[in-house]
Amino acid sequence: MLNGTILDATALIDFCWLNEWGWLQQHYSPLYIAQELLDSDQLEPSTRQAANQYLTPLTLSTVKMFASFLEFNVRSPLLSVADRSTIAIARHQLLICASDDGLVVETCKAYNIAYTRTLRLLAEMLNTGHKTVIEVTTMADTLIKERGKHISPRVLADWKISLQKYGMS
Amino acid sequence: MKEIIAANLIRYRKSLGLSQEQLAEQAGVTRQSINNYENAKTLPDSKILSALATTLGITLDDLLRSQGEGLPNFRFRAHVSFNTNAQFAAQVLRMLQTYNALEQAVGLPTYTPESTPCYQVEGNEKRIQAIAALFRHRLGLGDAPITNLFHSVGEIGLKVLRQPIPIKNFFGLSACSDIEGAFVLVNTHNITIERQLFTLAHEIGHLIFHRVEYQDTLIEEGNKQEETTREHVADYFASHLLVPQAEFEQMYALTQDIVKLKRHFRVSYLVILNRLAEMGIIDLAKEKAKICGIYKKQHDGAALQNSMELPPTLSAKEYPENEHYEYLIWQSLKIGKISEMKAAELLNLTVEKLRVHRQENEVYAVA
Repeated sequence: MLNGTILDATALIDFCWLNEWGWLQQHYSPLYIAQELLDSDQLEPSTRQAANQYLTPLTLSTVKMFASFLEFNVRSPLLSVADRSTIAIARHQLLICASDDGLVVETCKAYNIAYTRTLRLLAEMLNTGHKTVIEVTTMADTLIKERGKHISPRVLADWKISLQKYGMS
Repeated sequence: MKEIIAANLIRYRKSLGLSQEQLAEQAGVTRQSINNYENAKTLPDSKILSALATTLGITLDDLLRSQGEGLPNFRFRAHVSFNTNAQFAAQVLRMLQTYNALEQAVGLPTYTPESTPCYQVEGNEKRIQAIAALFRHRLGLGDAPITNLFHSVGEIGLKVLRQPIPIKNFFGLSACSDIEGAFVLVNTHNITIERQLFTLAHEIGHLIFHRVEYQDTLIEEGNKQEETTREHVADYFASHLLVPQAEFEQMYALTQDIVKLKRHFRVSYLVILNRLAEMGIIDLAKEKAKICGIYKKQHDGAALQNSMELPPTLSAKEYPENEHYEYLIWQSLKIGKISEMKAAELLNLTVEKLRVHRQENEVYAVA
């Protein structure tokens, strides 16, 4: 079994924009990516370049992994090959799945796979003293307003309220 | 798992007529490796399997699952080439699976036209015309020309996909499931919009008149005579769905110009010629030869091929492809029933671009 974190497309893209690879490596390494995501046509070249630079590709390589990969398709046919590969690897290599995709997270929950979301990672940047409340709030707003990241207004509002315990410093 | 992969590799490789050496070379592995995989001796990892799948024109899932496993339970009526092309069959089943999943995610009801068998036109003309009129009524249309049949049938829940399928003489196919409704695939590969519209109407005809013949895989074509009469029924229905008789007679009284008539009904000049021939007004072969002659003169000796349409042709811009399907994808995304990655894949976008499009859509959305 490996330790570490595997990023799906949403987490990968978020961290490309945030450019906080140093912090992520310090707290969540080793960092992985599913080979199927890395090879996908659905990533911009700059995102793929960052993935090659910061993440280690993993493949599905056992019967159990392939079985999970197929099982996820039966349960959620609207997950992509890359999503299912990411979740299957997380499940069988006991990795944390970093994702901000509702359906990916829902699947992780259904199979008791450890996961983390972008807002949670931003909050941890506060916890670790890496960023201030203002900085992480600005980072979240930038992802949403400038990069088209979708977070429901209620989730975002709740998250911002949860940051109040850190004060404004 | 190794055995399933082995069987699939052999099936899809042979379907393309590739040797083990050729597959190995194209996928960047050794022939010995292919031999090992096909004899279920070793389990390749997903990187190798993906490379093999890409070379074979299929997906990773197609290599991993038993034939037909986990796919929607549809019955088909299609061109015989469907049966002999394992890659194409797998592609169609994936399309069906995705379309079904999207409909279920959004919670839209499926649609299947009511079935009533009819195997020959002769003696059934009025009945087929009446059923075409009923179907127009179902679409909320009277006798007026149909602005966009793709759009109209999408609104009532008929699954329609327009895809480029580079198979010669393949125009489309239809499939049907008791639970999951009816599906029509229309080939767009080098095919005019007029012909695509006619194919859709033709396949709806098969769904109505020949549904009992739909089978689990693909029908073995009946004898030539039977097949011809069934095709004739579907063609007759399609013609009357697109060009209602009363409106046609009214228009013909106003103008005998083939171009004006085809533009009015948004059909091919061949549909108009066939109708006039059916009504005993023209000799089809002579009139077609005359039109081809005029075309040749006007186009510096270039021939009007069967695959071409007499200008002016319908513009592809006026008939955007798969609008209903794309609507289902965006709706599914909105309610979190599809992953961003999958939505991007289906819309042929990068995830980054999908996010921007989504943001733009939401800016203009009515709250």
